[in-house]
Amino acid sequence: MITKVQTLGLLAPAVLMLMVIGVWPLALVMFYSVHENFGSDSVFVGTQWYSQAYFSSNFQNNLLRSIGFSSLALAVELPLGLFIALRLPREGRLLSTLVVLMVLPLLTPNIVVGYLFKALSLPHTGLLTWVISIIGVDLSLNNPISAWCVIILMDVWHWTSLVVLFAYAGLKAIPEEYYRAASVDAASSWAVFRYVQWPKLKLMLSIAAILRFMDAFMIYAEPLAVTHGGPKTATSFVASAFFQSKKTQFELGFGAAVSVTCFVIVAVFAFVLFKLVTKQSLAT
Amino acid sequence: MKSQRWPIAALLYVAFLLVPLFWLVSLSFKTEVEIVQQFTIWPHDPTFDNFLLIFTVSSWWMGYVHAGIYVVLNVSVSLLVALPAAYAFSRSEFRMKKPLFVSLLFFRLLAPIIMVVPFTEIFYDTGLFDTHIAVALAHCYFNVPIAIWILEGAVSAIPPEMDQSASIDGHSLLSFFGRVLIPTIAPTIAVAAFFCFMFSWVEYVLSGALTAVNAKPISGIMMRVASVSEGDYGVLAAVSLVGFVPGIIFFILVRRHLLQGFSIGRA
Repeated sequence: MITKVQTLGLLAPAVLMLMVIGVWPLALVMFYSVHENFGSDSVFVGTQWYSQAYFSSNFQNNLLRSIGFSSLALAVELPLGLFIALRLPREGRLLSTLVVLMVLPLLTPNIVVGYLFKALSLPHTGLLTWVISIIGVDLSLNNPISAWCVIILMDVWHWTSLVVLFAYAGLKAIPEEYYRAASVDAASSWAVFRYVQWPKLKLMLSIAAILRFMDAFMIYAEPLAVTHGGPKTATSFVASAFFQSKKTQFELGFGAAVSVTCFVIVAVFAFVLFKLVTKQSLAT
Repeated sequence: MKSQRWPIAALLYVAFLLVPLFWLVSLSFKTEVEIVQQFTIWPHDPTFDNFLLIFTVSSWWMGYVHAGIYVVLNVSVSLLVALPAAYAFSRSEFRMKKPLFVSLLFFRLLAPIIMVVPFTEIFYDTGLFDTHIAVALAHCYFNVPIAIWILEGAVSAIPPEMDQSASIDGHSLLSFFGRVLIPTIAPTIAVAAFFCFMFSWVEYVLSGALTAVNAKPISGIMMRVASVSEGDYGVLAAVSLVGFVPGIIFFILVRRHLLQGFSIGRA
């Protein structure tokens, strides 16, 4: 057993580091969001930046689109990722080959993904444009629905493997005996899923869901590369507030207010999901 | 799980992933004219110019060097800080342990773009702006918590008796870490290193914003090129393909341990 002093010493570097590079910057953002900032001077302005953001229809629409986009992305990626994880072989050469190939999109920087899908949907010369034209549909990023389909497809391509990996790690944590017991009871494959796999999977899946929600909600470089937020503002999301406000010092507070709002939304989502999952596992 | 000889669904999924990647390869061997003017699946007139450009123009290949430097720095610092903390979380009892451990995950919820302004301020004030150290430290805010989570699982998986027998053998805490703990959980340390590497390598918002000239990573250069000239798909494709190489090598090295199921799944 290690002593209290040792515990403190072991934790100190990590805690200090996270204070300086995690809590402190966040506190700064919160500070900016309630101040008018001129260079090094600042005046307290209360909720002015927040109300300016919340009453702007631009922000409201971006927020709604972000919520819509992240919900759609989760609605496709979570079931698909889970399904693929359940269908993966348990071991062997094929498994490791498949996993290496599946990780490739995760190793692709967001900006590359953005330009890749832009190139795929170039008019006349993009591969995706060509494939879609075979079934007689004209893919054009000037059409809001097409633009949305392309960026959803892009996100599914980029991130579903993350869900697969998390779900697969959850599945691997289930002892073989559970399956044997289930087969002794002649359990249906649905029953095996519901009572053997699901209880172990749901924590992993919710961590994947939280990570995915955050990234999808704050998506920024990819739609910028593919559609420039267009046509008009059809694919402009909540994070676009940051590069609008980055140009001038004057709107620092506005960007900060949007930052804090986004963080609170993501944190509430994570907290609720986490509570739901851990409460349920206590009940069963 | 029923054993299936051919996991059709998984194969189809992987095929779906490979199509855009094939396009990336194809683009990297095409000339800009071919990319925007005609539809060809294979490069009609293959060229190595895109790759040559990367390896001959120093601002391009130095971008990889800069990224490599801060990623290695970040991975080392993250592991160095996270391992003792993971050990404490696993082995000692203290107040607020559970909430503290769960709240680590909340750092991962701070999108890098939210952190750009305060980090710029902090690193300007400390004179670290445009250094590899700035980016390496900035990336710690999401990598240290992840590393603690992964490593805590590995420490908890080894029986506490091992610590006791080590202390009976006269190991101090430090020599216990070096001689016993680290060799025992080396595979998990490699997995944690891989995750830190991956998150740091693909992150481009902070690494772009916190650097100007001296430490501009490859992603920052790509951003700049992409924003100046609409297109240049061939060069961007070649740059990204080269950028895959370290990640793939690293992943192949640790994949067996990764597949053993890192133990966040044991909850």
